Amino acid sequence: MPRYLVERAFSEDADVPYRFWSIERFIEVISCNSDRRVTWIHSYISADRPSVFDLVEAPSPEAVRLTARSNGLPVDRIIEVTTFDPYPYRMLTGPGQ
Amino acid sequence: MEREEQLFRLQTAVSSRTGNVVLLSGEAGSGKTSILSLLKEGLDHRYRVLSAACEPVGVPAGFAPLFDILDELPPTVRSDVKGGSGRTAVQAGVLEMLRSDRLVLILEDIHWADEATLGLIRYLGRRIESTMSCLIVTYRTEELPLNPVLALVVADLGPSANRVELPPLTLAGVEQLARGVAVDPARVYAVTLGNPFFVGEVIANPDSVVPKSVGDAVQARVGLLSDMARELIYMAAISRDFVPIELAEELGRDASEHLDIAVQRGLLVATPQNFSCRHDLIRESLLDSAPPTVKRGIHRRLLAFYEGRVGHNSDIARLAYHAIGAGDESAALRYSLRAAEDASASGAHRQSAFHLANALEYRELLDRTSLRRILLDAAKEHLLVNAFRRATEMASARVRLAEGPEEEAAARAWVSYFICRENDLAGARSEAEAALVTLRRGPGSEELAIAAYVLAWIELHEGRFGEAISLSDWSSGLAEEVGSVSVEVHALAAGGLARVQAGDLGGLEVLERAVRIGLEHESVEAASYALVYRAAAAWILGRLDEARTLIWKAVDYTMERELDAWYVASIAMMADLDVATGRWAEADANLERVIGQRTCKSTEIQITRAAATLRLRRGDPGALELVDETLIKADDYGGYDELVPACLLAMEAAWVGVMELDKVAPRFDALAEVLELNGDRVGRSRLSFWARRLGLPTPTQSIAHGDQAEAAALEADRFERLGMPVEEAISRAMVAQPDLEGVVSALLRMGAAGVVRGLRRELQRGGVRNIPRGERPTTREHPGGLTERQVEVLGLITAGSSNAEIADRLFISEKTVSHHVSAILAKLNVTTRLQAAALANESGWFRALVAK
Repeated sequence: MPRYLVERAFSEDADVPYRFWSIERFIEVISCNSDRRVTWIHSYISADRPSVFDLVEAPSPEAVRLTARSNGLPVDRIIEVTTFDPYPYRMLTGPGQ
Repeated sequence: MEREEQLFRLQTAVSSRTGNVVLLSGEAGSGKTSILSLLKEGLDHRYRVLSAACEPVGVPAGFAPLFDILDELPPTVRSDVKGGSGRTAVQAGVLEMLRSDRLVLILEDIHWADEATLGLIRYLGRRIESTMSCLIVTYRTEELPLNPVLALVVADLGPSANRVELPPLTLAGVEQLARGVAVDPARVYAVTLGNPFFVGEVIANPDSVVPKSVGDAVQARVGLLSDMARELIYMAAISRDFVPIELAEELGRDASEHLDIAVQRGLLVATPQNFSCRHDLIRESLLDSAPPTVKRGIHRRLLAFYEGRVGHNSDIARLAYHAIGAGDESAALRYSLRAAEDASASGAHRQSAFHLANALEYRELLDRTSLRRILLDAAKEHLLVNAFRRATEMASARVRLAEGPEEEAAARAWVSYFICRENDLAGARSEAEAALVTLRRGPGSEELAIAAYVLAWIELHEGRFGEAISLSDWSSGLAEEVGSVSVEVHALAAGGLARVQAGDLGGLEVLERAVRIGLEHESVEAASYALVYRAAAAWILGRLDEARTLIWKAVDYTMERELDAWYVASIAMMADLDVATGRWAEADANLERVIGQRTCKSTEIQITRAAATLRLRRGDPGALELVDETLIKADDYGGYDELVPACLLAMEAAWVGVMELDKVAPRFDALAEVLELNGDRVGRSRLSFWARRLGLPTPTQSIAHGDQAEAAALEADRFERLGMPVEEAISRAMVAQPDLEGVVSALLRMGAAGVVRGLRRELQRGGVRNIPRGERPTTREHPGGLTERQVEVLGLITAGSSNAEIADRLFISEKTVSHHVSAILAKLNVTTRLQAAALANESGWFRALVAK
């Protein structure tokens, strides 16, 4: 399944909300995500802006937007990404070697 | 036992003061029925509970589960259900019942439900808020992807329904159940994967070897039974319903003792009147393992028994099922045809198609005339349920049966009609032309009208409007003469749309007439067709609000009548319009309903195209793939009505920068020539808008630079009137002294990051520097996960407003307000609006928000 980096910008005067969420809120978001097969892997929280970058696994960008809407979360940008690890030894021991 | 939370959620839903729907789902054996028994035990006298279940009877009869609770229904509804009269009467009757009482209506196993029942669920789901009752439907999770109609119903109920899922047990849950039993919980868990039914089976027989599957567990029990007991359990499995106790007694005097043993073994459940399998998983595994000769014998016995007691029409479908199983060919044919007739009369097209297809298995027993008639009926029913290929096959079989050139030509006219519904332009043309050559020598006939209509339809879709108009006029005249309402409506609609596209507003009147005739005569397929064409005409004329209203009308009409093909087509059209008018959240929701649904070629293209445009405009990943897919599909279809929008999409993709201009330019050149030839003004102006963006030559170019800015201002106003915000914003950026900051901010507010990228590229090419970044819209995270609207509603609640006052203030209906209020209460985890207001006042966080 493709992975997406999702940028969510919150208003200037608000703190990034994840930090003060209740457990119930997390459970609600996660179960709502699972309805559309979206998995929230982890988030990068910007140090100087009220923005977060969520790494999610989802079947499509539309699924990301639909779940964001149900969860009451903003979506500013969706970027499809793949992982690359800068460890040279992996290239040496990779498949085919 | 790991079901407390689910039980609590069911109880909350049932005791809620506003009516609601619960979707209870889980895999087979997850304990859906058990949790409902627990729920029922806990309810006090204020609630009336009605339970009914759907059975896996091939294709069941209309409203099959309602027969379970016939005696509990009000007398009028009872006679409507029994008499097989219209669905609307039954739907309204059941709704009335839910309104007049505090009812818990449970419909189990709706993955086996007939269309009428699914229609009823949809109908009730949309109106349940106005009652104090609760509708609980259960289905197997694993059936959802296999059953597109069920998926549609679930998607429809989705936003407002409570979903309760029963997941498999965890290891801890299995340990809890296995306490005190000499089994290793870890092994039981590994084998059963936590399926509660399977776990129960294994724990109930701790001495035996742990079976590998549910089937093995059942077989282990069957192996120990007497022959007679085995006959009884197979009978229960094959009947797929309650078996009257008399049937057991026919087997011998000591049958009841053997029945008791099967009950003790946990395979059957019995009452003094009847018996059945204890669980559907038992039934399924028995059906898999029953020897064919035994099956046949039991079918024969059941057939003989039920033939003697035919009462209501659900019995005919049962007789057909047993006759087929018994191998009694003439009975199978007879009952299948009667069941099809009943189903068709009550508008249950899927059932009717199923029974007709069964009847055709015995075609050797039919004479030529009957076979030809039945093939045509079957083809029509298959068309209504979206089985285009089967419909065409059946119609083609009639050509082979034809005697003489006239009969053959008539059969081919019908074939052309079915092919044209599948949207195969070339195939339909060759059949229709062949039919026309012969038929026009004879007198006017329905088939001649059909051939003429099909040719008109092809001309329309290839953009030759003049030809389309004269052919459709001829066809509708012929159809009226021979009294074929359906063909007349089709032809009028095609002629009307062709006139509108050629710039003749008189076409609207023709379309109105088509709609009126179709609705008056309840010619459902034709009426849906006319409604969709009428909406398309409004859109072409740039009356987008009118188009929206008309599409909703088509959605409602096709949904209430279970015309899936046209329902999907209308929703797809709505999604397309949502994209064009900037209602993107709605577009997401509508696309989700139809993506992956089986449909005809042009609707499929429309869906892909709308999804592609949306990604492109938002700057989402994966846009290019969808654009390519749209182009491939549109080229394969070849109709002008899809080639034009596909080309517009490709041009927009090139403008945004995700597609190479070289790939787009030749497509544009070819199409521009065709548009010129056809005199299509609307298409030409849409195409030239994007051509100017890309610097491609357009017929209307060669205006001086200053005039271009003026033209852009006029164009922007025009797009604003039309309600197309993206095109409007782009034009506003091209006027003499543009407010680029404002334009870019407006686009970003809409979420159109992709459009901003395209605009920036175009402006840079024109030498504009310092293009503003625009103000990024920021969304506030609301407490308790409330939406923007819900915060507004909460603010008004806190100020002490009633629902009616809130509705007034926010320009929404009272029903919507009450929906928001219940959502707010649920999210804040309080039960009254007073508590919600108190919570909002107490917390400083809330105050800041509410003041805003």
